[in-house]
Amino acid sequence: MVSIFDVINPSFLLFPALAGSAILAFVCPLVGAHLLLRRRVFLGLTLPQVAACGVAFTFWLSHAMGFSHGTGGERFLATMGSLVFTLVGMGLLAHLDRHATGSSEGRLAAAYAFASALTILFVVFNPAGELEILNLLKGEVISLSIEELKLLGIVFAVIYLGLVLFRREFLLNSFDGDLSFLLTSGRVQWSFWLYVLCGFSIAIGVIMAGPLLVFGFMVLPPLISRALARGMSSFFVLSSLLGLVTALGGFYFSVRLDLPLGPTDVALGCILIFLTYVIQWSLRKLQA
Amino acid sequence: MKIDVPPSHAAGSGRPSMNEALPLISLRSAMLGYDGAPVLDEVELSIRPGELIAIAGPNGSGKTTLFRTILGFLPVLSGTLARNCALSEIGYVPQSAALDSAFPITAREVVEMGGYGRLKPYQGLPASEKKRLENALQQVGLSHLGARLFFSLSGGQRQRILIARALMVGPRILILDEPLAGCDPESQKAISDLLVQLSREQDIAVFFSSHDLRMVQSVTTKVLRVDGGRVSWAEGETEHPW
Repeated sequence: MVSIFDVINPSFLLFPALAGSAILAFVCPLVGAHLLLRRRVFLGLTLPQVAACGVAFTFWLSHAMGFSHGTGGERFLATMGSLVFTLVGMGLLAHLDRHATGSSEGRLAAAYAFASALTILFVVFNPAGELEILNLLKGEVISLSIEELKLLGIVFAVIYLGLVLFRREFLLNSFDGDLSFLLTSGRVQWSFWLYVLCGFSIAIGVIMAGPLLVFGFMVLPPLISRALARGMSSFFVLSSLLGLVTALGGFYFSVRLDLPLGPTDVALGCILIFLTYVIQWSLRKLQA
Repeated sequence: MKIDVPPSHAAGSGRPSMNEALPLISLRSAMLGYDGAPVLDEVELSIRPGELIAIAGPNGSGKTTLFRTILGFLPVLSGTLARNCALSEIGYVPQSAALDSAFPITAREVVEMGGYGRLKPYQGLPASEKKRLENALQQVGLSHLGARLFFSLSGGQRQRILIARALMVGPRILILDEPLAGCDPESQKAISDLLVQLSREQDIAVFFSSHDLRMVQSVTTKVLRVDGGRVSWAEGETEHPW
């Protein structure tokens, strides 16, 4: 029987997958925390789906161009597809938010539905890539190679560094954009840079782990953390740590019970949210 | 129409009187508004160091438009706006209701934000900034509430924390959007006293808004009234030589 110590052993066959999901789980909550605080949490749902659509599109394109399935070039193209679709989608949504009338939530919902539909259609056009896309949608990081793990590590280290180094600027911009403008005399567009980091984390995260896992790690740990934190520093630190706990726990249960990793992680995160709120409610009742 | 603001508080010895001091903010024949649509017209206004000026008017009359133009968020549609201080020397106090309660942020962290403009991204909070932070909290009389969550405080306490944040900037001018709204009478008095003290003792220009003309007249004699796209002196100030 596999124990938790077997799972975290570097010689364990699935260690790259564990390390990959741990990296995602540690950094994605920091990005998601800002989306949550800015009340843009549906962006964290829509953009991963747009990124998945980009992956499906490039799989279809590479098939149409005659690449044989499973080649390195196809994987590179898929990463580019994810990145381009995410950044273009984000830019388009930001442009519409500024210039179009109507509700932002409505646009995000429509974009989510459109991206989901296109993803399925691209898979139908290209049956050869069906398995790959299905794995992506299920959040299977099991097949993560060492090279992909390295790429994930580098990209997410840069994102983490950016979020930590400019934590004050991003926080102020999220909390009070007017003061942020005054203190910098409007020189730096902190919102833009935050969304760039957000776009990269989603685009690379989705190609490695799928939209479900990325969205889950972005939203669930900050939701738990917000209920527990007593200050912004503890909110961010706790979000990352809870993400890590969810990733390790989810991975363990996934291996132990032979379940797909993405849904297991997300289900565990939801159980943790439920437990947090039940415990808080009980404590309040006891104190009353 | 000319709404140049007169001095009413005596300046400290050795300082130039407010009348002589260069205005920190000066609007001349200014038309203000959004997207080319005027909200206020022919605005003439000068704000000098140490002045305490209130602007009163109903909701939607253009008070916020005037503030947002002075703060550089909106361009002047016509006429001129001159600022003799950097934007980073303006302490802006928004309405606390305008801030999002989703943030689990402490009162101390809110005040600390006022000092962000002086810090490098990788820099921790130096001792000088910590001292400044404590001073700002002390000035608003809320040192004991620094560790409390900002959104768990009362409306008046939140407003005073935001004033402490504006003081943390090291401002030459304070601009406050409805600082007395939603406050209990005790907090209203504490905030009013603080504004008077800041203008008199620290030579900070204070410009604040309210929809309640009577309330602002109890704080300062220099009251502007804004209504129907025009700015004018409130009754009792119209005969002023400026």
